[in-house]
Amino acid sequence: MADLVIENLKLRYGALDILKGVSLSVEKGQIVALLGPSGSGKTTLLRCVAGLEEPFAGKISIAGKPFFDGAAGLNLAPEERGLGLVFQSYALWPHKTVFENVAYPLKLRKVSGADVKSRVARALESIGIGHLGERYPHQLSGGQQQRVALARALVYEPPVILLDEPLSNLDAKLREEARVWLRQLISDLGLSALCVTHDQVEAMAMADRILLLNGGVVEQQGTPEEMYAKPVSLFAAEFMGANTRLPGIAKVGPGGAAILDIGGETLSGIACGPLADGGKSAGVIRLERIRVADGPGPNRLKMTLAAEMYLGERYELLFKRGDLQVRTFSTTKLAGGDHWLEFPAPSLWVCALEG
Amino acid sequence: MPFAVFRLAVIAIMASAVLAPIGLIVYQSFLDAPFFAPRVHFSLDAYEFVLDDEDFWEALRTSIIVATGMTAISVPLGVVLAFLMARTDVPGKSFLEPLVLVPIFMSAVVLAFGYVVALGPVGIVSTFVKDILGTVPWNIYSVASITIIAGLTHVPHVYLYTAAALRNVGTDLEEAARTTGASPWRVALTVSLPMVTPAVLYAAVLVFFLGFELFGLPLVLGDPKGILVLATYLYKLTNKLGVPSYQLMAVVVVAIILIAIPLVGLQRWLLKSANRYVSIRGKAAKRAPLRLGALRWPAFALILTWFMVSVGIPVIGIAIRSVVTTWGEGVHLSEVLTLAHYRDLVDYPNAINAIVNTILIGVVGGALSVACYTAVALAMHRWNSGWTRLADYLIMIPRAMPGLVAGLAMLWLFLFIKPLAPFRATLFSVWVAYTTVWLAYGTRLVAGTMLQIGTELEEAGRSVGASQGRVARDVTLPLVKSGMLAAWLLIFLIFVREYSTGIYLLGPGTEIIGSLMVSLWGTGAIDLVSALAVINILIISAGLALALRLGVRLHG
Repeated sequence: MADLVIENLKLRYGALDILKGVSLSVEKGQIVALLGPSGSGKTTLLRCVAGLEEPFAGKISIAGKPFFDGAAGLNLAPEERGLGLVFQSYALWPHKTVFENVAYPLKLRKVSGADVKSRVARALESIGIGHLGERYPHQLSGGQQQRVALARALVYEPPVILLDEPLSNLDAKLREEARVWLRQLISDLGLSALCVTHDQVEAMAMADRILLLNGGVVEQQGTPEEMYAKPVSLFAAEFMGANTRLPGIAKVGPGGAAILDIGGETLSGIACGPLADGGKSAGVIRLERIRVADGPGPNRLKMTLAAEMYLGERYELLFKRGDLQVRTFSTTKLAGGDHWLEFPAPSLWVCALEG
Repeated sequence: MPFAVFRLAVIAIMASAVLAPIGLIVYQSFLDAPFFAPRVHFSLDAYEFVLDDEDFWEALRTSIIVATGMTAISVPLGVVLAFLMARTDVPGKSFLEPLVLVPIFMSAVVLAFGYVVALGPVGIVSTFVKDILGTVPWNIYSVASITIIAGLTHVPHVYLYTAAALRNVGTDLEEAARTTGASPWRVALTVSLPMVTPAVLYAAVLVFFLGFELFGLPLVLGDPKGILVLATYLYKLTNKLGVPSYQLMAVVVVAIILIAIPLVGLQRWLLKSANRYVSIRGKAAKRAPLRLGALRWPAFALILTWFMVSVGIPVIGIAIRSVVTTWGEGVHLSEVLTLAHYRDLVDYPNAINAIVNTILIGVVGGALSVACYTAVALAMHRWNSGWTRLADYLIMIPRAMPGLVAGLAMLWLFLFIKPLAPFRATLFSVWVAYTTVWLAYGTRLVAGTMLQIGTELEEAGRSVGASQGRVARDVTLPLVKSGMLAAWLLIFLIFVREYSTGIYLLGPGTEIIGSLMVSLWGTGAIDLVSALAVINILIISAGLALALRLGVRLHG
């Protein structure tokens, strides 16, 4: 059964449309990532669920209980929703100790003193900061603060937990550890979670499903594998992974196959979204799919090696031919000069360029 | 929705505290006799009388001259002072910084008395100069001296806004100008100064506006020679017709408010356009101060001279006057020293009451006022609605009323509303008047600290299940505790300094040092006045010392 259902949610600030009709559902025990560039409305959407922003149309309900209904004029206050929200800044109250921060939601729920103690202790213990109860937030590291914020949002066992860029304030090394830990914790507790992030790697690593937002609408949604392997638009194709873009003219071949014409040479690929025959298009391919071949062949272009960067576990290569630039990886060092690059047809998406 | 009820209740109470006095004044101005007279009629007689009165126009003219002149003096001096303090390596900065703000916290009447005592025809400095030159080359009882003194004592207002704006100009903006080849002085003139122009303009309008509120200075320095400004004209009007001429006073108050409203509006508009510059400000980093080189000590001397002239001389003058039996030509200090004036205070019950009341209204009244300002700030805090904008305008209304006027309005209000009548002769009426007069200032003080709380801290409270009221109690208020304490200290200083608001409310039970001094000065009891003035200065100094000790910023 779906835990959280959002239907056709719309929100605007003044004359600015932020959400233009967003729908999504989070199944019980699922982690859904809201992914998108800044300004796409992902944080606003999360705040709508929490009750901190007021949309003007649409519906939000959790476990069948309506929280917001634009048509019926219903909008529950944040405190009446009983959700857990972890802020990007963690928003720990600086005048309360770790214990008091985590105990506050329980006190609001009139839990008895002894119960508060044991439940807070359990919550802190379960996320590995049981010894920090007496400290104040400013005495904690970023990673510890994040855990306290999480404990505060979890201690009253909310049906759904909302996370706003939960890892963005941690440094790179810590972020990768925290990602694994957070994913583990959420699935161990059997929680449903909605998580905002702008980092596609983070979204893929943490989420069961990804919702890609662009300019206030859902561009594409699906499992991380679907999002990565089957984009439905140029935006979706380029947002995930690291890519190279090949500008050209699209030709719609027999049986719906797409052909990309780059200055007379052609590459065959897969149509990504609707294509117009003879329209300006771009071929998009993940860097790791491009192969340095030993000679001419189908779907291959001859290009000159222009730069080579050593990255440790591999080399990043930059090839050029006229205006055309292609980046790719190689495990071995390559000799300078001309090479043949292969763009495998099943991995090359041909997308229409707008305008 | 109990929090919504709280919000509306606070705004309703505030609205009535603000609108009732002003409404009563407007109502009174259209009557032909005091509103409590047995038979009153609507009439325009009062307007006719005042507009026909030569003295009114003369007072208006003088007010405009003084306001313009003091603006012309305080703006350049304030900008220079701000630039020296915020940008250069002038020596003794940490010592000068609190000193520069001291004039703000000095009572204008105390300074005026001090000037008379020090620079008057037989003043302490004057007689000394006369011994050397054979004559006193200045006349303290003149429009020029009122203008100059007012200009000098209002320098801190300009300094405050300009220095704050200068500190907000991003270092990178100035460094960018340096890297393109501009010298430091050129950067100051072509980058920094243009960027703070809105702030300087704002301060200029503020000082000009304060020029129309001047009361203590022209009363002490202008009245003996018949020089009137609007506020002193109002004060003198009390007995012009032999009977209480409330309707005439009301007309003058309406005139003062009509002048003030566009100026307050202009300030608001300037503040908004000043904010435009905020968005283009760059990163603030530590910057190296400009080296003044050989100008270092002259700059230091300039600041110190300004301070000595605007605060040092009058304070020292009044302090000396309070410990001598008499002063005049040929008097030697060692022969006339006495502590009798302070002993006399003890025998003068009004004075003792005034001292006790002043401290009471500063400490207890100040705390209660801060509580009121906090309630208003809390009611408007992060509330996006038409009500907040309305309340925002309401708060500004008392700004348009000089303290003297607000005190008068309160007196009438306590006469007009029968259930309030028993409180008229108590400190409560004075406290209400003070709280209303400083509503805009106090609310902004508290609201400023509230805005520094990250929104998420309050939202986090809501999201874990606390209602708006609970969040206000458990998150917002505990986090502004230190800000409220600072506000209390500042309000204490202002309430102790205040003199004009209490003048019309002065009576047995409502004596305040400030208003008592004004009334005693009229009777010529200069011995008592100087002793009281010194006590007033001491109380303020103690408050200032405590504020500095606690690290309270002396401005909002």
